[in-house]
Amino acid sequence: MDDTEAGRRPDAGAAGKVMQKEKQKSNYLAQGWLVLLLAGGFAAALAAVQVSLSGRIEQNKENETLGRIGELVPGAIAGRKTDINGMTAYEALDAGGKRVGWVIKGSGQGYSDVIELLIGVDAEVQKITGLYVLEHKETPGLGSKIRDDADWARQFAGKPVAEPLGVVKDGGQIASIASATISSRSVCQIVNNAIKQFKNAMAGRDTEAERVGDVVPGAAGGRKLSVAGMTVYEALDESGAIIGWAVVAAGDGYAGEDSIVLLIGLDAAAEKIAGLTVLSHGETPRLGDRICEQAWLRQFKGKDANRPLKPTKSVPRAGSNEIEVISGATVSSRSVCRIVNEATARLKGGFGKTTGTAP
Amino acid sequence: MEHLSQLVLIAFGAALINNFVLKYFVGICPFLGVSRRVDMAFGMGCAVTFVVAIAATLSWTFTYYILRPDAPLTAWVWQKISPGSTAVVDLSILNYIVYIFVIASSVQLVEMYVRKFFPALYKSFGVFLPLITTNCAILFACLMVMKYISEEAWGLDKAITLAVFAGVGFTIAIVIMAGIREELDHCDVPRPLRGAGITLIIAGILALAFMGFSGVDRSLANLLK
Amino acid sequence: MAKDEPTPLERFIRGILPENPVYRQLLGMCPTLAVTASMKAAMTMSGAVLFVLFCANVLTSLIRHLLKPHLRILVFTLTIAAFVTIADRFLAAYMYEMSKQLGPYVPLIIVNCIIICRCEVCASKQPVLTAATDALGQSVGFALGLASIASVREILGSGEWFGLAVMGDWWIDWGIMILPPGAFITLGLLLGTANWIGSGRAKRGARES
Repeated sequence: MDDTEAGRRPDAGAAGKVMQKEKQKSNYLAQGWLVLLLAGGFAAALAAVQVSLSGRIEQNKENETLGRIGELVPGAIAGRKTDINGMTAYEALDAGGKRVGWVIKGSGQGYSDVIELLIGVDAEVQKITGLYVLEHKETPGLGSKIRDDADWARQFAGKPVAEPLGVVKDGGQIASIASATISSRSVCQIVNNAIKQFKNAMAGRDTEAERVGDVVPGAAGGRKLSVAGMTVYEALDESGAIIGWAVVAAGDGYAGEDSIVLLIGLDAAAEKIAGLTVLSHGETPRLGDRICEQAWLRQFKGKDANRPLKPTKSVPRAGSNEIEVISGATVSSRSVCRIVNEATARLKGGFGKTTGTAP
Repeated sequence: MEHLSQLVLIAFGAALINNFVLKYFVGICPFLGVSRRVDMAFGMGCAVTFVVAIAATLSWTFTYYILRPDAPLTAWVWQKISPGSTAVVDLSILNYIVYIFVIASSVQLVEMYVRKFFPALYKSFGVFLPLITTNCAILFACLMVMKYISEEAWGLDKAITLAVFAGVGFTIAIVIMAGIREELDHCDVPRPLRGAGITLIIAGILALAFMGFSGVDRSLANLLK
Repeated sequence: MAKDEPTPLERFIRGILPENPVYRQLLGMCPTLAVTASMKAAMTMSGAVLFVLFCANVLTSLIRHLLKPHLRILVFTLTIAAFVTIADRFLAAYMYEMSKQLGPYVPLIIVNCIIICRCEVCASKQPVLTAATDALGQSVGFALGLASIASVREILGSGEWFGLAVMGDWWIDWGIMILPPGAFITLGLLLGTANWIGSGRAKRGARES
């Protein structure tokens, strides 16, 4: 059992002590080996755990945000993490892989401690589509309602992004939670800051080049040119081959001169319109801004670029170049058609005159 | 100025607003055990502050330079072993083991120091000094530093501020408790509650009082802006 | 000496009530107060402690003959820290929400006095089976202790038990129960109750004998 007893047996004086010392030294050595062995064994076990589980843990962290995208952006079923000018944002994608909105994270000081939020915005960064409180340490029963009360967060959906949000007490439109004004106010501030940061990041990046992929399906990038005085992008696929064109065109809208800026996608031969997206506009919220709606913009896909588009109030005839105008936003709709017509005409003219540029 | 105000906020936060004992429930064992007399409590508080400062410094250094994903020293060594590799070396699985050993060493260090220079204090502490190793507060401080390194890239100055003022907060809590308990000796506490029971109830009332500090850091932040 | 040692079964039963780590030994206070705001968190913590205590006890018992006084604590600490890391990673991988809720309290199991105490007192001196049952008994006792506090706090503080609504709509939540002061006061009162029951039983025992 206890073998130091052996060392304590009454041996002849000095010899006994030397033996004791040697026994102790070998004890230390043995223990040292034991610790090393244990350390090595544990290191191996931990390395195995790390290798096998770290992927899953990372996935869990991502799912926290990705899992919420569906409820934050209507129509989205998946998310993709991207980096916009150093800011992490999540693209909300629908079933077809098209971007229908964004989800960004916001955080800031609440009443007790930091509050972390997920904010959903629509694709054009014009409206908030949803809000979810990821983490908070507010007072249970009072400030904690920012998360526990689903209806409270729901009032953020639909709010326009153009003006900063505030609680009713400060003249804003968000109803604060009873006895938790500070928590409510903090959430508004965090949302405002996050959106401002996001807008700056979006403006900072090369908005046009990256959105070529929105209007020319399959494009991985764009190469900027100037044709007939317009900014045109060669839409390139992953191998670098030209699969289409994207034209930046501005024109007068309901709001005024050059109030609508479009990105028009054309196929490689510049015969058909491949897609259309609104880069920016100043049209009336809820009326003219419906030109940003995907359902409306989808009409332009496949239309003939050689003939002018015809805005019509009735249902367009199949195979024609008619575009149904948005009721209540006739001027905005017509403006878009006009801008597209002018741009495609100029482009074809420019292609015809310049040598070396297809088609 | 901005940096200094950040440090002030961290200090206040650690000492009062997010008091380690009364809000995070760490360091309860010494809090219940050593808080009978004010002078002992104060000595314990100082010892804990000292140990946590050393432990936090060491653990920050280890975490920042060796343990976190893509830490400078580890990356350098990895480059020497397999040059040109793009793999990110992440030793953070060893965090807890390293921290506990750092803490044990810090306690040993402080124990040797106190035994050499304050022998009377050492005698009165008895077994409590080595027991600081199992004091949750110190490991908790190391864990907070670890969290803030990964989330907010805290430097050594912020880590030390947090550690030292966490110790100060612990000292404040334990000294207040000791003062109250000294008075409690003269009271007629119901038998079942004597000892740990009444101490916990008083701790609860203290925690309630400290809750009044919530939100102070926000106003402080606005004031310091 | 072997005759006076409790059998493995006795050790198991002892750990549950007579030597209950929370109420009798007053060990492991930190998680007791921190995670008992909800039953789910408390039970997850008990599960983690069970895993670590069991593995540490068994391993320590297996190498008990090799342990000498000097490096004993070192070996215990290394063992416990390694197992806690494993438990923490497993929680983060398979129960992410719970892992976030428990936060830094899982790694704090390393300094949880219960485990070091059992390793020192029991596992380093007893064969594997005894150490294992001791670990199980203490863990069950710990779970019981946590459950009693968590039940009180969760039912009074949010009207739920294990996340299911127990109190009707008429119940106004006692927010204080979820917050730190509630934890302290609940534990204090329950400790007093346990002492009172215990002393009552002892008095009856003394009178009868």
